[in-house]
Amino acid sequence: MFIIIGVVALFLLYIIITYNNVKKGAVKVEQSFSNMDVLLQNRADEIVNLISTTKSAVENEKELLEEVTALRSQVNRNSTKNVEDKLADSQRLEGSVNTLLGRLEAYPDIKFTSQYNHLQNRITNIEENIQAQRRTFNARVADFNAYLVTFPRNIIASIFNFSQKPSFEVTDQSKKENPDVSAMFEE
Amino acid sequence: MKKISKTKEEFDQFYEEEIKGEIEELEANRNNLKKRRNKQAKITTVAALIPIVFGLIFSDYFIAFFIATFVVLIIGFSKMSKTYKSFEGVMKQRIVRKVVTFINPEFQYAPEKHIPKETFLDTRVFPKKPDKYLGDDLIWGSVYDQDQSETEEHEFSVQNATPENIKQVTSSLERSEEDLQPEESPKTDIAFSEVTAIDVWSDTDGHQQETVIFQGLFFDVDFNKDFQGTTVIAPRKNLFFDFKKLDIFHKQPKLEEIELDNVEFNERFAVKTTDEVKARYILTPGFMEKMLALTDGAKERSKERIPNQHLKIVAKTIEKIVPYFSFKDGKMYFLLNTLQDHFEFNIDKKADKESIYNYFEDINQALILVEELDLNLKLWNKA
Repeated sequence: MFIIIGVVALFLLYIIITYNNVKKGAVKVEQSFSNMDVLLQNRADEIVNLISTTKSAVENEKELLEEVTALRSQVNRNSTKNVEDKLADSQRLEGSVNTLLGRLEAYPDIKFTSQYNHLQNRITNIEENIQAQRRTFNARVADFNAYLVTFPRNIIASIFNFSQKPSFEVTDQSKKENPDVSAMFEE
Repeated sequence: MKKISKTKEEFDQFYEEEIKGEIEELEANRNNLKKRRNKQAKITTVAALIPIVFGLIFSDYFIAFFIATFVVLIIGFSKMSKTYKSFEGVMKQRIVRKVVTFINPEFQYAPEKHIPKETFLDTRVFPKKPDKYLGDDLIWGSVYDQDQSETEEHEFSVQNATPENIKQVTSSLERSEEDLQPEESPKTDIAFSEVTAIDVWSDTDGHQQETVIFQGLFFDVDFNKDFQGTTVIAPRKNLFFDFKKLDIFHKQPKLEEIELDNVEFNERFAVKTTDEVKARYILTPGFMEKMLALTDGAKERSKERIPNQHLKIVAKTIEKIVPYFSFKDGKMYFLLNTLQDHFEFNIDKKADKESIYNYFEDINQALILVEELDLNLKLWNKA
């Protein structure tokens, strides 16, 4: 009798530990995403500054500026969206911003203003931080998913409706480790 | 990007033009000091033998004669050491200083100084405070930074200059030159020296033993990105301690091990950090590749200096040539454990091209480090 009670108690304990570990893992992933979200928002804010600094000097890029502004507003309205949508919008914005920065390099009047250089450096720095945060987020998602799929945790996960989380894959458009400054000049 | 390190060919030319004649000039000085040292050795031997003989004849006073022998030996050795130091001092001032200036005129050299112990402890690479910390040959200075966009844009502008846009290209070049006046140009500060850290411990019989924790070159460089926190990278095959126990002797903030995206890097190095995101910010996939290449290059250069010995000894020595990296609050530390003496001269042998090339390589390594890791490429947030 005691043996049966002991086994049941151990089983319950295992379920509790697994449940708590999955919850902790999920919190870590969410925390990581929140940190990244703050950076994505920072980047969107800096883009507003970039546009207002360069607008008057780049009449020819009106269409591109409008596209970036629209995407930036979309990111701003993102607070109610889910993780996947936020990531998709952010990637589209990243691609457009890279194109914009590349085009702006062709305007010497803009290039040599200290305000523009400062903004460009800030955006690039935020990009670097986003990349680092993205790699951290993906590492946490990978740990979380690996924990969920192993037996017998996968059974416990399905009982409590825990599912795998999507990682932040970089699309070809926005794929870059460090912004390739030299490539910008080739546009 | 402009190359800042020197090549073997540049060294060959420099050796022929600047060093060869200097060595010839210093040969007379070396021979004189060698003769003086030999004379001192002979006098010391004879002076030490006299009390021994007397001690054997007058055995009642053996202890007194033994002490006299000991005192004679100490005086003799200190005289010989003084002679050697005088030889070494001249060689370092005349030869090493020239090599340093050849590699970078901005560099300064202090043969007696070294990177301070506090900086060594700051790296958090070693789990224990060394009981003995020695070093010499401190070299320090600045490498002017390059803004990749400026450099490549100049090339692009000039290549694409046409009669129509030549005015614009010229004016933009003038403007950027104004922006980059040398006194205003950002620079990467670098300092390095030879360092030896020794752990003293007692064995089961209570005898004091010494273990060399680190012997090699210690580089302290400005990193090209601004960050806070500490990230330590040590080889997985660690020699003197278990990396997992790394922060036993250190207080907060705690270092935690992380896995990075590069499989080869993870196999070869263990990474511990106080901030996972900052560690990934520093260790981008591209930077990890560069670190692997730099490590292989540095190891290869050190390997070439191992004297021809039994294969097993060579293999064991190669295994001990390991690099450590540490990143702390905007600084990068690179510690290359070579287990070799650097910048040493032999009083019994004329300095040859090979030995001077070794000094050249050691100093040039600092520039290779900056160059291969693009440490002087300020693109981001570093003021």
